[in-house]
Amino acid sequence: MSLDLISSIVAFALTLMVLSYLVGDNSAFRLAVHVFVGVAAGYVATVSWWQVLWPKLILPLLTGTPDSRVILVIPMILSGFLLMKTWPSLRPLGSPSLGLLVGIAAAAAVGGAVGGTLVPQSFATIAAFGPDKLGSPDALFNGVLVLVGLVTSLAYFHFGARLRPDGSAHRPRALDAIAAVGGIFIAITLAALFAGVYAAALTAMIERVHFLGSFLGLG
Amino acid sequence: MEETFTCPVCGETNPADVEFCQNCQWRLRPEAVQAPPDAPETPAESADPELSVPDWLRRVREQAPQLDQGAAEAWPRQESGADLLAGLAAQKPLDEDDLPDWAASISGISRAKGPSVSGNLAEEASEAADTDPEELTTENLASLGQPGSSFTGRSAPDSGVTRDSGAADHAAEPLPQGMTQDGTNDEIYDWLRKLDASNATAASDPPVDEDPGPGVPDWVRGFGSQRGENRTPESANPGEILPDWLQTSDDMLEPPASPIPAPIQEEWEAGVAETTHSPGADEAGESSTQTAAVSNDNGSPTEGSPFAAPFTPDAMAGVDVDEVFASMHMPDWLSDARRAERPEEDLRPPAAEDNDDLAPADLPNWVLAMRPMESALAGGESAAPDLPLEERGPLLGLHGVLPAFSGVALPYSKPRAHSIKIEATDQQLAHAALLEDILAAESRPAPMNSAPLPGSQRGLRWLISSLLLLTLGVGLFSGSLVLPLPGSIPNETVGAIRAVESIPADAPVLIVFDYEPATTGEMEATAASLIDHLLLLKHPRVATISTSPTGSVLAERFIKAALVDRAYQRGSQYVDFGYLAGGLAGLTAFIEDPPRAAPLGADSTRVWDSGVLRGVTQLSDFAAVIVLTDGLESGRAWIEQIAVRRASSPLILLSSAQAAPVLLPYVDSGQASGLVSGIYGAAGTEQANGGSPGYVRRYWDAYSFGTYLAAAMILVGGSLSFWMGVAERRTRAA
Repeated sequence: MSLDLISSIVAFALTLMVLSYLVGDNSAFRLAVHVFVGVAAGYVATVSWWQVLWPKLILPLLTGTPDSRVILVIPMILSGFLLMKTWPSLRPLGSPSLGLLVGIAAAAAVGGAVGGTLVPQSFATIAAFGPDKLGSPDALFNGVLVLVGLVTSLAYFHFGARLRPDGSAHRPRALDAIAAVGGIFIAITLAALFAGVYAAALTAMIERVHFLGSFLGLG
Repeated sequence: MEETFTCPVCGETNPADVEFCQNCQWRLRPEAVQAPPDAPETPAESADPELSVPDWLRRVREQAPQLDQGAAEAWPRQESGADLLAGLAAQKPLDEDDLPDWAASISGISRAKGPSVSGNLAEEASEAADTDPEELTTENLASLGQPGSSFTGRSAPDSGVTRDSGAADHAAEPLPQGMTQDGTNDEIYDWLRKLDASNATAASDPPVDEDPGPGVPDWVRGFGSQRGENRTPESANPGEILPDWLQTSDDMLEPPASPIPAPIQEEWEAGVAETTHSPGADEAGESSTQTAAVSNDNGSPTEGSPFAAPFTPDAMAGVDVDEVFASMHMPDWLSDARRAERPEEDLRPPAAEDNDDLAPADLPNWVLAMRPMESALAGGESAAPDLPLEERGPLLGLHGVLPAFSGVALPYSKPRAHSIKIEATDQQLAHAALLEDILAAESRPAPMNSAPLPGSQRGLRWLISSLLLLTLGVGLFSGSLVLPLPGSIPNETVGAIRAVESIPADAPVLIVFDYEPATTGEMEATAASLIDHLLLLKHPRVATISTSPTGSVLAERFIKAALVDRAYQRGSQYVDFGYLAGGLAGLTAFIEDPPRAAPLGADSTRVWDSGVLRGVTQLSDFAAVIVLTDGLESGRAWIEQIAVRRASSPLILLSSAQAAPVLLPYVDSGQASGLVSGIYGAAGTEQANGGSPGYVRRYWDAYSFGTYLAAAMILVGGSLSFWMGVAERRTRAA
C-alpha cells in the first residue's frame, strides 16, 4: 500500500467525519476536529524549530563566528525572557521582549497603513477625477460613485449629536440623510463580501465532493 | 462592772469598747478620741460629751440640778434618740399648744401614760403637769415640792396651757401592765430604790465597777451620780426651794424597784440629735458623744446632767430591759418591728462577723447618716421580710424596691426579640411583586418580534444540504459540461495575465503562499491556471516563501499536484525559503534585505548560493511577486510593505473570492498589477492558458449550479419572509 493510498484513505475518512456535522454534533466530528488541531499544532511546532530556532539561533551560536555569536546573544536573551510569560511569577520579565515585538509590529503596521493604503487610495480617489478621466463618462461616473460611497460611508460612522431642547439627542437631519446613503453602500459591500465567502466555501465543497467521488470512482 | 455606752440614736446599750452601736451602727466614739478597750474611763473622757450639749440644756442643768423622781415616771424609756433629751421625752405626740415634755417634766407635770415611780412622785408630777410654762423659773423649780412652796407646778385653769389631765385622769385610763392604781410600778420603783441605794454610796465611792444592768438607761444612771454630786455644798443652792420631787431624799436615793423607762424621744429631739451628728468629722467627736452627755462611760450621768442624781448604774443592775419595754406603751414611731424581731447576732456590724476578715472602715458620721439601715446589716436575712426583696440588678439585696408593674418588661431582663419581617397581606405582596416587575422591565431589553420559523431547523438544514450535495454531484459527476465558461474576463484578471506575460523568461519570480490549508481547493483552482501559464511561457526561476508555518507544505503540494505537468524540481527550478517568522516585522525585514531575512531554505540549505536565485540580492531583483492569499490581512501586508519600500517589482494577487472585494481597490489604485479571485477569475486565466490544467472547467458546472441554488434559495426565502411579514402586519392591523 503506497503512501498516497493511505493518505487518500485518511483524507476520505476525515472528510466524511467532518461532513457528518450535517446530522448534528457527534463524536466523529469531534475526533476529526481534535485530529486537525493536534496535527496543526505539531506541524507548526516542528516548522518553528527546524526552520526558525535551529537554523537561525541555535546553530549559529554553536558554529557561528564570534561576531555572529555576540549578535545572537541578544535575541536569545529576549527569546528567553519571552518564555517567562508562561509562569505568572515571572511574567514581568517577558514584558520587554513583548514590548519590542509589539512596537515593531505597530510601527510597521502604521507605516504600511499610511504609506501603503491611506495615501495611495486617497490619490487614487483624486485621480478618478483627473483630466484624463473627464472624457470618459464611465470613468467619471465611477469616480463620482466612489466619492459618494466614500463620503457617505464615512458619514454613516459619525455619531456626534446635539442635545435638543426636548432633551433628546439626535444627529442633524442632513447628516442623517447622508448616513442613510452610506448605509446603502455599506450594505452592498457586506453583501459582496458575503457572496465572496459563499463562493469560496462553495468552491471548497466542490473540491471535497469531487475528491470523495473520485475516491469512490465516480468521477 | 463592764462599762457600757448608750447609743444616742437607738438607745441601745453597748459595751464601752465598741466603736459602733451594735444595733444601728451609729458611731459611739469620735474619731479623734479612740480610747483603748481596756482603758478605764476617766472623768476627763466623760467630760468630752459636754461639748456637744446645747447651751440651753446646759443652763437648765445648772439651774435645776435636782429632779424629782416623779419626773422619771413621765419619761418612758426611749427606744431611740439622744440620752441628752431622754428626760424630756413625752409619750404622746406634741401638739402645738402642748408644753414640751422637757419643760413639763421640769415643772412637775406628770405624763399621762407613764408609770409613776412612787405615790408621792405621781402626785407631784400631776401637779407639775398643770404648771404654766412662764412659771418655770429657777426659783419655782427649786421650790417645787418644798413645804410651803407656792409653786405647785400647776398652771391656772385659764392659762391656756394644754396639759395632761393629771393623775386623776391618769387613774381613769387603763393602766399598763405592772402598774398599780396609784400610778406606781413595782418594777420601776424597784430599780429606783436600787438607784437611790447606789447613789448613797456613789458620792463617796464612784460606782465604776458596778453594772446597773443592760436595761438601765444612762440618764437614770446619771441621776444617781448627779444626785450624789448635787449633795455637795458647791452645787447646792441654799437659797432655792426645790419641790419635793426634785429634792433629794433618802427615799429617793433608793434605787427604784423597777427600772424607770427611758423617756420617749420626740421627733424633734431625734432631729436635733441627727443634726448635731451631721455636721462633719470635726463635730463627730462632739456629736458622737452627745448622746452620752447625760451619762459617762460607767453609766453614771455626767456632771451637770439633770438626771444624774436619782439613778446609778448599780440601780439598773439585773433589770430586764425587754420587760420594761414590753410593759410600756410605745409610740408608733418607736415601735420598730424590725428592731424587735431582729436577732442580736444580725445587729452586729459587718466587721463583727466571724467570716468577715475586713474591719469596718472609719466612716465619717455624715456618711453613716446617709447609710441605709438595711444595707448595714450583715447576713442574708432582710431587715424587712415583709417587703419584696430585689433579687437582681444594681439594687440587689434591698427591700421595698418598687416593682415593675404588669405590662412593662423587667428592666434587667433580656429584651424580647422582635421579628423584623414585615407583616404584609397577600394583596400587598402582590402589589410589591408587580412593582418590582415594572421596575425590572425598564432595564430589560425588549424582545424582538421575529416571525415563527416554519418547521424545524434541523430538517431545513438537511434539506438544503441535500439539495446542495445533489446539485454539486450532478454538476461534477454527470460528465456533461452544460454551462460554458464566462466569455468576459474581469479587468483585474486581464491585468494579471498581462503582468505574467510581461515577465522575462528565466527570470526569478517570487511566489508567496499565504493561505490556509482549508482553502487549498479554491486556491489551487484559482492560481493553478495562471502559474501554469507563467511556467509554461516563461520558465521562471521560482522562489517560494510564506508567512504562515503551513505555507511551505502548501507550496510543495501546489507544485507537485497542480503543476505536475511542468515537473519543477526543488533546488533546480525552484527553491523554498520556508516559513518567514516574525509576522509583519519579518515581512518588512525580508522586503528590505531578503538574504539576511531568509539566509537558508526550508531544508536548511543555503538557497542563495544556488543557481535559482543568482543575481538576486534584493526584492526588486525578482521579476514579479505573486501573492497567493485567502484573506485580507496577508495580502494587504505584502501590498503595503512593498509600496513603502518602493519596490519596483510587479505585484500579482491571486486571492480567494472572499478577499477580492477588499483587494480590488489596490488593483484600481495601481499598487497591484492584477488580481485573480476565485473560480470566476480563474476561468479567464484558464481560457488564456488554453484550458490547462482544467480545474475551472471541471468545477464550473457545479459551481454554477451551486450559485444558482444559492440564488434561488435567497429569492425564495426572501419572498417568503416578505409575504409573511405583510400577512403579519395585516393581522396586527386587523
